Amino acid sequence: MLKPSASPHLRRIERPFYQAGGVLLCLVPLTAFSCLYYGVRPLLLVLIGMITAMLTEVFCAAFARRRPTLNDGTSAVTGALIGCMMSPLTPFWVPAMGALFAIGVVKMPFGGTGRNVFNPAAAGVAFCALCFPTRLFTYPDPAQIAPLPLTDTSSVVTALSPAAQLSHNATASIDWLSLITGNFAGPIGSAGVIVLLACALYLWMRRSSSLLIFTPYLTTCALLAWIFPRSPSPDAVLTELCTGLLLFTGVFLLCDPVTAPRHWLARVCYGVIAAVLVMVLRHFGRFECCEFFAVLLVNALAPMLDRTCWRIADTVSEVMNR
Amino acid sequence: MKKNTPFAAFWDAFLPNNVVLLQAAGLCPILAVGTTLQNGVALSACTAAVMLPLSLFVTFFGNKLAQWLRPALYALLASVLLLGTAFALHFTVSPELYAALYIFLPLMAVNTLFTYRTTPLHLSMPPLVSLADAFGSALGFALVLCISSALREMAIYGTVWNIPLGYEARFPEAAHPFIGFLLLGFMSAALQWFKKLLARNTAPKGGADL
Amino acid sequence: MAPYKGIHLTFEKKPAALLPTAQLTDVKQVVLPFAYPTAAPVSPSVFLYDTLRRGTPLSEVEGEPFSVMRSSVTGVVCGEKTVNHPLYGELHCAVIDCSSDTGDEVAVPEDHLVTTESILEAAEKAGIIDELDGVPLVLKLREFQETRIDFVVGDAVEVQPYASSAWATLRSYAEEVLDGLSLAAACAGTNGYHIAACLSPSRRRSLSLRVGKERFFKADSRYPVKEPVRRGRKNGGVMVSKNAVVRRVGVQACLALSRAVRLGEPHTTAIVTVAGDAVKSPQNLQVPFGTSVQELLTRCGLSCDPETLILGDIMTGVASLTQDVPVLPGMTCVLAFAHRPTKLESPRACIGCGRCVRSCHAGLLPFEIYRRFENMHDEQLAALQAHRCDGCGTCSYVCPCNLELTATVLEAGRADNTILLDLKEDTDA
Repeated sequence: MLKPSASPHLRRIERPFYQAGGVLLCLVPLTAFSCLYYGVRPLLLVLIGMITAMLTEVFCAAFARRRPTLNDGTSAVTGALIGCMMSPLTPFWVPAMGALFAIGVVKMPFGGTGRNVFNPAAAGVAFCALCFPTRLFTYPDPAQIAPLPLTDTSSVVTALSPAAQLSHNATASIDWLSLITGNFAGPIGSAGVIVLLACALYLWMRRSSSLLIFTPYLTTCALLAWIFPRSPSPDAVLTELCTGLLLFTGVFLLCDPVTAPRHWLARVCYGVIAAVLVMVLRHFGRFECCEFFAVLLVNALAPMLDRTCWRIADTVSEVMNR
Repeated sequence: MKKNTPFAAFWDAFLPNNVVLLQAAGLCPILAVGTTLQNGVALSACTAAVMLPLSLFVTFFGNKLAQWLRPALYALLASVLLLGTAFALHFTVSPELYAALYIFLPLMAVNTLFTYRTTPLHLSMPPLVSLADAFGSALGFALVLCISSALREMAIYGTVWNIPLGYEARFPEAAHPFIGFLLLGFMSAALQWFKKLLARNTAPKGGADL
Repeated sequence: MAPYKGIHLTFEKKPAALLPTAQLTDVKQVVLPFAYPTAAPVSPSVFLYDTLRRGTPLSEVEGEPFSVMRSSVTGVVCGEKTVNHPLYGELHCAVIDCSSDTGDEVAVPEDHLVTTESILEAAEKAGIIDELDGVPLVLKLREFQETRIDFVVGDAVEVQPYASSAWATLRSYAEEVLDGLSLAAACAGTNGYHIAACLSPSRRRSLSLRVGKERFFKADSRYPVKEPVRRGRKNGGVMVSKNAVVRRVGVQACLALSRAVRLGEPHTTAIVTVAGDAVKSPQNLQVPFGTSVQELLTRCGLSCDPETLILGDIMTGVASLTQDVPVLPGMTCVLAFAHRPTKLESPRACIGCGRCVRSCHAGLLPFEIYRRFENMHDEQLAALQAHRCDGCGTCSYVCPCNLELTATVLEAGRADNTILLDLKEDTDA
């Protein structure tokens, strides 16, 4: 019995979990590094974020009488990313609130996976930053040896992160080895340049992220940090790039395929505009880490960038072919 | 429900086509100063005090004015009326409350809540229907404003009408406009869901489901 | 300036490509249309119980003699039927019982002086159709005559997974194909005629020995093939400039042209690849036009009742719901699968990976066209130029969310910006 079939009859099949699985795999070494310094607290924060996000998706889907799409792993990734952007000292309910906001307000009302306009992880952390700034930006001193206590964190010695020092116009004096291995006060996700760059490379090889976004972003950030340094030390550019959530944003938030543009020229412009916004917000922003606000702003531009850059590239290739 | 009877016009403007939740007019004062119930009630009273005379003016004299003149004249009239209500609020009720409303009471003069009443639909309404519609809009605005300001007061201060409710948890960031946006968004979604539920349950059985 | 475009498909050409081409000469019955689909009036010139010879025209078409179908066999007309052909549409056909007498109605050329006019006349009389695009060869040659052409390329590139009929043609008749190409090039007034193919090094060497190294262009194996030549570089030692005008002709059409001009033979057979996992012995078959696909499959043997029958190769072929379809010019591949070639899951939402944009050789934004079409945003759709799509199917192939991008983009291009809006009244207004 012959059945109808639409061309092309051959498809390249990819499991739904493939894209999200790659990102989750990358977050494992980041969390592990942070656990090495601070004990089990970072892991719990990430797990709480993931679980809250998945539960919120199930609840919202049940409310809308739709099947929850947990098998594509995107809500787990959102929750894990929110957890990774927290400070190791953050109370456990903060990433939960962030994940609730991210999934319940930014992702599901727009239609669920693949239909959100704004990056849910960036929005969740932005919500936490606006509502609970002190809890988000209080970092423990990595020099202390004992692991962080789970409940009462009042006895922990805190330290200003290099990003905070730069934003207060003070010099961030950290040696380059500490910068590269992540041995400074910062969020869970700013584990170290080596790990983050390895994650970027891995995601690119898995075709989950685009180098066309990351490379212009990093280059523009470095250029702007070199032209407008915030500290007089010779390590100014390296300090600027390795502190805060700059690299983390470039690797995980900007390269999120749903909210990033698809056209190659649009991706390049997206990376450049994001870098400009990040550096401007770093110089003039209210918080020491403003990268997620930059991500949200540039997400709004993505569809317009796609269409405009496509038109430009099409016109240019037409002119060149004539 | 036909809109040409006073009760129908009142009800339609009050809930099914609520002026804030479904027509998205008058959002700014709710977001900015709708942080305590007292603020909310004061602003609602001022709005009603302006809306009702204005709607009568629209019905009797709207058609006689040139199209380009209408919004400006209504804003002027609203300002005059607001002046009166501001005086009453400041000298009769409470100067602190007047200060709490800050610039958002005078700004009501150019709010869409009043200026959108220059549409031909409103001009063609008979006086009683127009009054009922205005009353419904004012009450609808008051309802949303009071509910959202009560909720935000509970979150920020733990009180309602300055009466403590007895719990410790505070969420001071609810004073930010963006939390107000979220609250209004969810209230609007809830209203639409409720309307759909009502329509589904009152639809004729076996009829075409549009 | 444009980034990488195109995909690599895994070839499944063995064992069909390795086996010699089998000749199907004992066909009992053929079904042939009186004429190709045309707007001009068609008047059949053969009737019930008429005896036909190979090459007898079946009808007369006013003003379009190239639309006339010629009998591919010797036999007797035993009936008429209407066939809904998946590729050609509704066709009014003659059913011909084949007889063993192999007499042909041929027009043996009187002298061997070959001129452009004699080539055109021979192509028209033989009724040659180019298998690449279904255009009558005589129309193509007339266009060659009128425009300045730099290169005429025999397209044997075949980068889709299964088809190997062009290779089978070259393997058996390379010299005649080259001769046909030279005749086509003579019409175009150029000496630049070459065969383009994508082959393994050993096969490339053996072919180069037969046709000459300078007559062979090595083609890229990425699908889809926009052009069989690489511009601005040397192809087989021959420089093809960026502004060179290149035209493609199918190799089976070249073979038919050579036979028509040199021997006066009509175009009556096609080499078809029969493959797929439901076929016991995949191979290339040379069959007369009008042979039903069922006959081809019986000859190759079916291991089970196929669920999917594809006319054409797997990326651009059309699925047929019946095996009772006659082989006509343009059909070079028939695939039979026990189930669907790829088990399709239900489509998910677009995740924005951008692979469809990267792989679209027409430079479109398939995901955006899909989104606009699904949401009926008419005003944006025109700017996205969906009519440029040629249906290669690459976007649907690479999509990880199983979206029907190709079908939607083709439909959006055909809709020509007039989308019917399904107006519904909102119950809660």
